[in-house]
Amino acid sequence: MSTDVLVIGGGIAGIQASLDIADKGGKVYLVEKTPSIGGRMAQLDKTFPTNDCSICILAPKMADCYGHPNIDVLTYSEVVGVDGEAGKFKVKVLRKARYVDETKCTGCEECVAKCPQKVPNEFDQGLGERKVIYMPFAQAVPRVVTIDKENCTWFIKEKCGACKILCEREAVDFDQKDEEVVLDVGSIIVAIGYDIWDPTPASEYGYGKYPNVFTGMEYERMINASGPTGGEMKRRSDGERPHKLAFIQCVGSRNPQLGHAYCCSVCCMFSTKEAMLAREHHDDIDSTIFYKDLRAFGKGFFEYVERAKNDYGVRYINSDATVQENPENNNPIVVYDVAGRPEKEEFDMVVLATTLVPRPDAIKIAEMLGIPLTEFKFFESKDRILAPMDTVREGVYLAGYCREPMDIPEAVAEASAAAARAVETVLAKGVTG
Amino acid sequence: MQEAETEQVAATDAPFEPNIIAFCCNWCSYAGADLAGVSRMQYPPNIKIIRVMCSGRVEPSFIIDALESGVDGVLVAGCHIGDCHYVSGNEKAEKRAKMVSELLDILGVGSDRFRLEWISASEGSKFAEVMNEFNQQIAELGPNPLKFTEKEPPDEQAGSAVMIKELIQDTGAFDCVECGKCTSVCSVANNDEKFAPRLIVVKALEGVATDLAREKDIWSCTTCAECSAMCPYKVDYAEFIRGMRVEASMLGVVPVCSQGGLLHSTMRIMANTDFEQKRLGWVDESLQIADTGEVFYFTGCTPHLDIIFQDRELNLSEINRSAVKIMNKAGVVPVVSNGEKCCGHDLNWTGDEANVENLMNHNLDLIRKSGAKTVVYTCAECFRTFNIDYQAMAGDLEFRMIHMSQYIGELMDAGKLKFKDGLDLNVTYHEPCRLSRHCGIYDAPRDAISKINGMNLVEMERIRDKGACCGVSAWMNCDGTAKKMQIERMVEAKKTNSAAVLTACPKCYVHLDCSVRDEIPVEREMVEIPLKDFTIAVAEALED
Ligand SMILES: Cc1cc2nc3c(=O)[nH]c(=O)nc-3n(C[C@H](O)[C@H](O)[C@H](O)COP(=O)(O)OP(=O)(O)OC[C@H]3O[C@@H](n4cnc5c(N)ncnc54)[C@H](O)[C@@H]3O)c2cc1C
Ligand code: SF4
Ligand code: SF4
Ligand code: SF4
Ligand code: SF4
Ligand code: SF4
Ligand code: SF4
Repeated sequence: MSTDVLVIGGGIAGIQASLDIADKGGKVYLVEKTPSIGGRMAQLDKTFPTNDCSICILAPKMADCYGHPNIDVLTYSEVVGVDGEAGKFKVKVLRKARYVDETKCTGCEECVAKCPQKVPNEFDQGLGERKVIYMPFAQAVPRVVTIDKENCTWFIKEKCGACKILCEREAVDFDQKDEEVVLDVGSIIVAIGYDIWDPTPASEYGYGKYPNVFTGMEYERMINASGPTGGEMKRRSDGERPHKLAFIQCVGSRNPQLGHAYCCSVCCMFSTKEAMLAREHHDDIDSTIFYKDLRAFGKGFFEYVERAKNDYGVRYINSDATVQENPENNNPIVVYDVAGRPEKEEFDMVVLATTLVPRPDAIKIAEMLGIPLTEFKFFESKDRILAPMDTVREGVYLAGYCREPMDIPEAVAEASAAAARAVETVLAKGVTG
Repeated sequence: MQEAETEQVAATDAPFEPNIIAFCCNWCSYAGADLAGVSRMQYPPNIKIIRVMCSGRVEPSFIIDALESGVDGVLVAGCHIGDCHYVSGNEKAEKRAKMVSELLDILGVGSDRFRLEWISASEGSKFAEVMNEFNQQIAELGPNPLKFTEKEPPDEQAGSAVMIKELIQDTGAFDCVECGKCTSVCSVANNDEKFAPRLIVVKALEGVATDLAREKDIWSCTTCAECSAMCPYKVDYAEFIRGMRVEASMLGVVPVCSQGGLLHSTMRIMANTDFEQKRLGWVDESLQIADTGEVFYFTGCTPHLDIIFQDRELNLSEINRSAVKIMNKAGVVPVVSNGEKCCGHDLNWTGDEANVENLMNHNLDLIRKSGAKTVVYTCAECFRTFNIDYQAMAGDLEFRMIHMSQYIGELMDAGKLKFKDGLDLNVTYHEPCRLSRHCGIYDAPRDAISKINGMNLVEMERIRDKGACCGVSAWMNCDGTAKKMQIERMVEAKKTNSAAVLTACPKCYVHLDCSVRDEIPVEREMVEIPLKDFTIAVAEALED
């Protein structure tokens, strides 16, 4: 019997669940696939509906989590096997070699400065570049670098090794091996979040074809002071700052034709936020939001939209749209419907609120845990109304976006709920078994 | 059979008195008729004269329409060449007469039911002579097997709120969230400010579109399905429009097609007769065809279109010759039948379901008798009609139906086609909506083009599910908007700097070709790119 809890996924939901349990004295293993915890929230600039700086409110939680005596944070790790049952799960975790000794590295990033290889930075949605030995982002936790083996010259042709020579603390270790550890836990919380859908196949929006069409997440990174452009909005075609922005909603969402019949539940609000932020950056930017329906359903959301309209001059147009381009200046032209008639309007940048989709890993994890997925590959609750955090398998719980679309406050609330359910199970099992 | 016998009996009882219409020009022939009358010359009273201002006013559709309506013979009479009151109206009439004669022959109606004569104002006796002779000729031919049928009274139920509601359910229009995305892609809406696709659905949903007689928009849509390809909720817009047209047809409020109704008349004639047609004029000695066999080549109505548009020298039959040539090269001798009839596509898209069913029954019977296991099409519309509409009406068909582009791909993969060396040709490809969005075939023509050594495909801006429409469908909306759409498409094609734009549907070819013949609103060089049918291009690339 074990009263420990495993949390899979170190986004805001996973972090919150871990902290809740750990604060009450429970022991938690937090397994995160990437080199740092933080998840999507770490990528965001500000958060609706308060326009708080996202990383500013997240970073303390990340640090708490990592430093918590009751939480064992296993980053760059993945769950590869689950056996047993509630109260006595045996979980196999693969700890991928980061080729840097986590206990020695201080995160000084001397090595990063010297590494000659560059690749697109996934944290910046590929807008900027990072080195092959890298710190995922400025506030990453743990503050340890990782070598991306696929692109490292050492692993490709046994040359270079600059980082190893340079590191005074001898933290770089090319001989590190992947490791498998087995954890005994009483219950499991799944909180692996979402992915951003690539809108290229919906070519009517011109993403990937017209340079000045961006996704919402690209835009978040761009306006972020620590992002690839240092907080400046820059057109891909000429690096100029835009003056006239168009946001197009429901790109791929609420679209059974594309296989995503659901509403992402956050894009109406985040586009509103993004349009407001544009004005905060430069007061000569005009934004227009093209929407199917405006789903501003949360507390204070309607007022938030009203504020965007009245105080930030954001224009809302009720129409889906497609995008063309003015070949002379690479300005995107938005085509939309006004009372059944097509209208065209030229903008200098378009931001697409692309649909958010379950992580591909969901399928693997569902299989390992023996729990079902919904038709859209979100994790299925035992009962959507009365037992939303539970799965059909006792001892396995869900939290956050991987269960269904939701915003940060909801993900946090779910995390606490799932934490409570997980603890209930281990306590019950611990007492009776 | 029963009816035919009673008719025969009736015919022997009373002598057959042909029902003849003579279109006479006001200045010469009508005056000639007057003179004949004043001079008390005898000519048969069963010839009904219609006075027109010029023989050039008589459109081919008047003649075909008269014959379709059961008239036994049609005569057009005008001034002698050189004497036309309007300089050259009669020259036009002469060209048209040639076309009409050829069309009547190919249809099997026979050109001997039609005659063009020059009769001047002073030729009263000639007038009487010609009338007597023509009357005699028609009397010998016997009655026109096409009988005038009283138009069915409008269906009371048609266009009713109940029927429209059903249509809305069946085509998914009920799911429309009024997002307007369809509007943003519709080529018609983008070129015609009166057309608003979304509002047709909205109006129907609100129950205000029931006055179908006034609903012009349902005829402006080209049913290209660009909108459906984009609609998040997969509203089947083209089918919705077709359904509305079926209702309109039941109400008897279908507008005439371009060419004044001629095209649809020829289709209906095919649907309602069993004449011995003459459609195989394009088959020359170099081609091998058979009456029975594994592969049936459904040729489509290219020979008819060649006749109707003869002044444009389209030579669409070259598509048919090329198809047979390709098959022959691959060792296949296809069944090609003189008994083939129009697939019914255009009638289907004007709501005339009864005639489509006639045509279907005839064609299916023909194919079944040939023993074919595979039917090949060079026309995207025939392909769609068999695949979707015939199967919807007659259930799953037992033979395989493939478009020529797919068939060429198969023959290539089997190593049966050899191509010339040293070809170096960039081509672009215009997507026929019937093949692509309607039937989901996007890759077959592209794959075939890319597999030919030295032939390279350069794509246009709007392709695949966003491929722009050729502008006209079912001959219903040939207008300024269509022209704009076509010019736009040709400009786009030209921009690829290719040697030719390939089409995989003869109709696309006809429509796109038409657009650049008139005066155009752009510099001529912006549209100067040769049009070529896909099948012809492949045949030309074959090793000799
Ligand atoms: C452009 C944009 C702007 C947004 N703006 C706002 C906003 O202003 N306000 C707001 O409330 N919400 C906003 N959201 C929504 C918000 O991002 C989510 O609600 C929230 O991040 C969900 O958190 P999560 O922990 O469920 O998922 P995530 O943040 O996705 O976290 C999941 C974690 O699991 C990890 N993981 C994935 N697979 C595995 C695996 N197999 N094993 C282990 N770990 C794994 C991931 O690496 C990640 O760290 C925005 C979303 C977008 C796209
Ligand atoms: S590996 Fe060494 S040089 Fe690099 S960040 Fe860590 S301590 Fe610094
Ligand atoms: S060995 Fe690899 S990670 Fe280290 S500096 Fe060279 S390329 Fe970069
Ligand atoms: S939140 Fe808004 S933009 Fe996002 S899918 Fe829902 S309705 Fe569309
Ligand atoms: S795209 Fe579809 S859902 Fe949207 S308005 Fe058009 S028909 Fe309706
Ligand atoms: S079918 Fe084509 S023409 Fe008709 S409404 Fe749709 S996009 Fe427009
Ligand atoms: S002619 Fe071609 S593009 Fe036009 S409706 Fe027919 S298949 Fe479509």
